[in-house]
Amino acid sequence: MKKHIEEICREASEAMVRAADNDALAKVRRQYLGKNGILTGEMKKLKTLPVGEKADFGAAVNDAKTRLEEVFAEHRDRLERSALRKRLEEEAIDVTLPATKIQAGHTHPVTQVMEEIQEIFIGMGYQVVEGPEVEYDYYNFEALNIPDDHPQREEQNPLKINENILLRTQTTSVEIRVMERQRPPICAIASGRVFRAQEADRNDLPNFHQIEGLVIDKNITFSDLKGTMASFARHMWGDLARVKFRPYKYPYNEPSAKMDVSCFHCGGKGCPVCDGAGWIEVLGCGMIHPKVLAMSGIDPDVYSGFGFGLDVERITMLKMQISDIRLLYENDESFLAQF
Amino acid sequence: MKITLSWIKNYVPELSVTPQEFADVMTMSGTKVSAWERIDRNLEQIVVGKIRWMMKHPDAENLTIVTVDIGTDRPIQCITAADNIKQGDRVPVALVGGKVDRLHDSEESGSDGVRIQRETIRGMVSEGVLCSVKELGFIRETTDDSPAYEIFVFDEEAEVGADAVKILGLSDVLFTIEPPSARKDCFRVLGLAREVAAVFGLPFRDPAVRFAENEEKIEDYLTVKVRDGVLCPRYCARVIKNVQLGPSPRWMQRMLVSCGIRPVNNLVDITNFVMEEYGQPLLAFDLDSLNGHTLILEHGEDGNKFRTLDGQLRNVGSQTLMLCDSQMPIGIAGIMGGARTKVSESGRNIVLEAACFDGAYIRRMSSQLELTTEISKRFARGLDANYAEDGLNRACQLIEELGCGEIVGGMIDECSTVVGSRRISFTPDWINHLLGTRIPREEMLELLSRLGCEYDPVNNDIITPIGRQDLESEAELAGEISRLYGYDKIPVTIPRVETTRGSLPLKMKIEQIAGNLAEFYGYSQIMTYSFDDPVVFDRLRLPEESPLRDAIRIQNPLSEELSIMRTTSIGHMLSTLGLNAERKHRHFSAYEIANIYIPRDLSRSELPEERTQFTLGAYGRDDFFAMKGIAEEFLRRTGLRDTPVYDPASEKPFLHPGRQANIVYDGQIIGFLGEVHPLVAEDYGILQRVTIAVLDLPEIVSRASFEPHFTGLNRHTRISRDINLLVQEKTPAGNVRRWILDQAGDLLERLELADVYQGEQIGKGLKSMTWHLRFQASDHDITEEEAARSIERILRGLTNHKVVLR
Repeated sequence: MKKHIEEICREASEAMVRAADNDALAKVRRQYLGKNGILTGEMKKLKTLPVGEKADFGAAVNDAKTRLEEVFAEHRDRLERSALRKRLEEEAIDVTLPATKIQAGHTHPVTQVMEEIQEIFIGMGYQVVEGPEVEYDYYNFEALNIPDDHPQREEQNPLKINENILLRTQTTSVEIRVMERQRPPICAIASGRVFRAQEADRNDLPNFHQIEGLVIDKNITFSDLKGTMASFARHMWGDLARVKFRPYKYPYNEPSAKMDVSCFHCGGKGCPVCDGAGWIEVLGCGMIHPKVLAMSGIDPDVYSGFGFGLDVERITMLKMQISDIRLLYENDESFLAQF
Repeated sequence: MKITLSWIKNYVPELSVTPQEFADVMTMSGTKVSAWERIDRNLEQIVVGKIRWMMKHPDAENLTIVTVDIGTDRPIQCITAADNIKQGDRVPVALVGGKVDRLHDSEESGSDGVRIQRETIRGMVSEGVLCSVKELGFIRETTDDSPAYEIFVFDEEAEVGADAVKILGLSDVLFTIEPPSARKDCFRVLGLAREVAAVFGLPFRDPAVRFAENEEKIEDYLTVKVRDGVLCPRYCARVIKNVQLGPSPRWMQRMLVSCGIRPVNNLVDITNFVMEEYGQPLLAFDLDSLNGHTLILEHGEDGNKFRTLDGQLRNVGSQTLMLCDSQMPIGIAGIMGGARTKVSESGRNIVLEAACFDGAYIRRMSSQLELTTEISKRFARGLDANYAEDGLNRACQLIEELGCGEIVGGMIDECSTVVGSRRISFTPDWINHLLGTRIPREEMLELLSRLGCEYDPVNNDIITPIGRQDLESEAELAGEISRLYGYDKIPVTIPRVETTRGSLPLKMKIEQIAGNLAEFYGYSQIMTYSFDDPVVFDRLRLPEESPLRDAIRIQNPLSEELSIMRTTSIGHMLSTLGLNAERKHRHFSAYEIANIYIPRDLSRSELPEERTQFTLGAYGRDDFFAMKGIAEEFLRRTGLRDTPVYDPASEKPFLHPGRQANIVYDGQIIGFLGEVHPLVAEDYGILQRVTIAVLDLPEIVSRASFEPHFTGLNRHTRISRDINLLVQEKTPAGNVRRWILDQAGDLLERLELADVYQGEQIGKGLKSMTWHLRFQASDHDITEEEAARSIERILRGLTNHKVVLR
């Protein structure tokens, strides 16, 4: 009898070895160990055996069962491993196929430069403020010491709405609005659109952006202005940036200056970006005229201050080497995607 | 403005600098020198030659062989086609190896000059070139009196063999100078020379003006009446008898030519010369043709026309200041005269006018007449009335010197509003305080004196020079002192301001959120003009009564296309999408954050309301629902956490009537979105579906909040259930959602529409909706029964709306 069990056991083991996959293996297991399986059937014979053989036979069948289960488990693991290996092999991909496109949008270059400048001044403790783009003549000219017959009016070529209202030609108008509503100490910058009656060409647009800065407190000096602008230039164009102040004459600033920065492209040696000069004019600045302070309700005997302003498109073009300002407002995807 | 170094040196004789030094120092003192060039840059080895003999070329009828003595042992042989020379003439000769600006028979402009070579012309050797004015480099301004094909002939005294360029005064430098517009004094040679003297710390030599008048009285010749002393603050005139016209001397021609002014005759050249030197426009009239020997300055009459010297008939009116004789106008004051009183022959008596007109008036009138002249440009800048008399006298001096006429005694000076010097108290401490410097007061006084300022020690006043009306107060004195002292010598410090906190206003923070979000979803930022074309309203199919049509008009627009301030951001967005479609970009998603301008009142005396719009537009990729998703995410990020309501009755004519909605929050419309009407899209050149969304930022800023707070975490179990409903085709999902929520009770923790299906398996006029429901209780683990009860209630409620379980 025992031999017979051994025989079954051997057959079953061989069948399990032969099983090509898990399904076949499970079938073999059912065939021998299932409810109606061969070994299970052998167990049923136990009742018919004499008492003396019962124990031995029972132990032999159970032992066979255990062994077969072990063999089964072993082959099951083997088959699963090989099936997984096969699956992974089959699932290999061509890693050189193109990537799924993640297309994030692009910030407009003018905004990038505007935000960069804003961040520098926020870091220096400046408040960002805004003012209206359609503005009273008073804020754009009169309060800035630019009376009706001043040649600056013609130079700035305003687009007018009526006698008293125009499209602001400079963000300097915001300086006046800030001075009117705030008491010193004032540290503010304003950015935004300005407008001039000039035809669009490579260098000019009728609609562009400026950033304006304003500092007013007791004891603010021209040397403070120089220091602040130099520090701005280093933040903006790197530690090696040098600055140069040329006297100028803004009606609202006295003394006033144009600031040149050493060419950020060639470092000052001279190149096409700086027209060979080694220097690039980047902003206008000056001490706020006492008349302007007084007109806006700030006592010029107690306070002094400085202001500065720059054209954002111009800086953007220089920084990103854009040769035609009109590209900035054309909004071609192939252009925008480069920034 | 252009000026030569030699002209400046006339008044600053001690000036000795290289052109580059001059340019650098002047620029750093505030007078920008934008360019300079040597007038003789292309002239090399040109000497004075004396013609020994001449003979016809044996083989060319129109050529002459000239033997020229050039001060060496051996004379040289030249060949020329010119016929204005004779034996004994002294002429400029460019030697072999030398250089001329260009050859007289070539049209090309010789930017690098032409090298002279030994040549053989029809068998005869030429060893040099006899020069016309063209070879000498001033063809652009050449006068009729010295045509290009004639050889230039020197005066007798020119030394043979000497450097011709030096004798011609061509070893000079031409500077292009851009003074600040407020420095009116620097737009004239004298003022500029004074500035040069101040900057270099050299003495300034004022021209000494002296001339003789005859015994007669001007009043016997001329009467002048000025009827508007505001627009004409000064009118000076002198009478010149028996004027003799002819060419002006070469030195004067050369000075004018080098500054780009064409010499005409002695009288015109004198007026131009004085206009450059003094900045004062001068006009000459033929006195003999003046009716009544009278000049009247008065306003014209509406509807009148006047023919100006350039032959154009111009509309003048009661706004226009006209110069008239006793019967009729003879010129438009300060802008241009007429032909009748032009001085055109010798022997006549003339009036020389030096007037001053209101700058703003001339600017206005000049643009109204669309006529800008050399004199109108000068007046428009705002002239100092003091120049009138000085300039007129200087002209008389030159007239006398050049034998151009006899000066009648006396000058007519009407109005004579003259602004004199100004007194400004001298405050060195305040100035040092403002500049952050410690400049000694003596040094300040020295710097100011260079500008012509005087110091009155008794009153401690600075007395400003005449012609410097821009010096008004201590601030300007500080400006002058600092620039002459040198900006580079002023220390560099950082302001010690009481601490201020850097910050971005809420509105700009929200704009940044909008931008970041849009870019995250693939939208690129665009920038378009604030101007718009009035045609935009028709293109957007807006009805006549649409309030958007009420836009602010610009009085002086650049063109009709840029003539209004936009009241909607849609037009430019669609144009931009159209441009990209035309350029074959398969898809494009764009956003813009910029203002629209809504007028507040009809009279336009108030500033418009500027409303910042967050505009999204896309074709080829994102559809209505994608854009709706961005809009909702934007609202959530700015703290508007409730789900907005979408009202399909938004009635935007430029949108697809079945695919548009107002975005409503708190009962307020805060924006809209929709697919663009196919006809509108086509009009903008886009043949695909286009979706746009506009969020009105002021509405969002006023509701935004950035104070998120933790509301606890519910860890009790959740139960998920899907229900599949049959819904009438026309019933919006938003309604079904509301009906479910009405009945669900507190246990329904999340509700999502998972799928909408319409097809054969569903009855006609119906659609199937699969809703995903998730239940959770706040205080205990929810039971199956509780969820089932809630669903039962929901379904019961839905039957009232003809919605049943599928």
